[in-house]
Amino acid sequence: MFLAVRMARRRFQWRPFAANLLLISALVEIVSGVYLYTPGYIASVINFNFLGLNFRQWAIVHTVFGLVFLIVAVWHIVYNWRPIVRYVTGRARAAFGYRREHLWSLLVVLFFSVTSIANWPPSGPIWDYRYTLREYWVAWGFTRMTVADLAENRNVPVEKAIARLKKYGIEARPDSNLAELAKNSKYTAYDLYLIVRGRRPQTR
Amino acid sequence: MAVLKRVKDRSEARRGFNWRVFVVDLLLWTAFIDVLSGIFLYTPGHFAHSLHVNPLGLTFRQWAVWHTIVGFVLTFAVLYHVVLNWRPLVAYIRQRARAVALRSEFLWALLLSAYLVVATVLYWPPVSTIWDFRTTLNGVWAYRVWKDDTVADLAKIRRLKVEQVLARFEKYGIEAAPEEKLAEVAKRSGYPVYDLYLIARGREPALRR
Repeated sequence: MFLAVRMARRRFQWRPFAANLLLISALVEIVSGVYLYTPGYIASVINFNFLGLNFRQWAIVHTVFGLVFLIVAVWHIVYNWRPIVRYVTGRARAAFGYRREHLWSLLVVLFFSVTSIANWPPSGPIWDYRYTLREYWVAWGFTRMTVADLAENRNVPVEKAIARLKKYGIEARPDSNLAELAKNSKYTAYDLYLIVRGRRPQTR
Repeated sequence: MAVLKRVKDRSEARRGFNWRVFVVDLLLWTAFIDVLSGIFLYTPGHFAHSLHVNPLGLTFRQWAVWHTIVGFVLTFAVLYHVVLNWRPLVAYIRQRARAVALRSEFLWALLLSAYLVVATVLYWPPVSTIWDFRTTLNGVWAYRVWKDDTVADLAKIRRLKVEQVLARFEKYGIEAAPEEKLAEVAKRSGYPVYDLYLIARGREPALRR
């Protein structure tokens, strides 16, 4: 009661509000970003909805909170303009003393930027590891899914899904477990998903 | 001058590496790159390749990889920043947690964030508006880049047969000839150029439903 009265009397402070929102949005961005890396984009295939949100909703959360982060960051800079100018000019004076740190941070960013764009290690393998993780996720998800489940999930008639699997020498029934099918064939779980969708498997 | 420079260099060599300065710099650089690449990925991102729009000469995939990898570096920088500043951070939180000021503003920031998550699930404004605006922007991009291209050009861009594209158009009651400009087809049919692109790909139109 006492707290409520005090809170009502006091004027709303925008600066801590902006700082708090900045922290929360940064946290949401990191969590949603890690999730979207994997299994995010394969989640709908294996009927896995992290915290009850599907892939599209996670993508929207990541985008919207990214926008919130951007707006609040600009707002935060405007609200703290004077201390920032003081800090930056102070740092600029001291910059000569910290030139090694500035140079190294720039080099690290440049290194990861160039290796990302050129698909060189370690960035290339980090990105490709997404596909390895996808394989694990699909294999895990398929342990509790049948051909009929996948066909329904991908809006493919069951008969068509079975016919597509047969083309690759995989004999299946609507109630066949997908993990078992993958185990008994030369194809991976993700390949079965591609075949059911009418695409070419990746395993040669 | 040369003597002064040598003295400065020696004093710097004696000083240890300042990880705090390094991490703060890293945070700033990575946040800047992720915001920049994030804006590109919002639009036209996923169909930039078809548009032949490659800012900085990078493809969609390269922008996506850059955004992801730098995002990981940013995450590590944030964690390291927290580790390096653990004591002042804990002291700050303890001090502010006692003050009513933090509780009220923190609560409002938390409520706003919670609302945005709920609005995402239920597709309410402003979330729906932000997400739909992406489609609107894609429409602007598509019109600006493809208005002078023909139906045959679009089929070539998407590696489709012209007949297939025309058949897909017909499903939506769109009459078109291979050499007809997309802008003209759009004007006559009422389907914007971006929708024609989606229909040609066998997808549902997004702007005119």
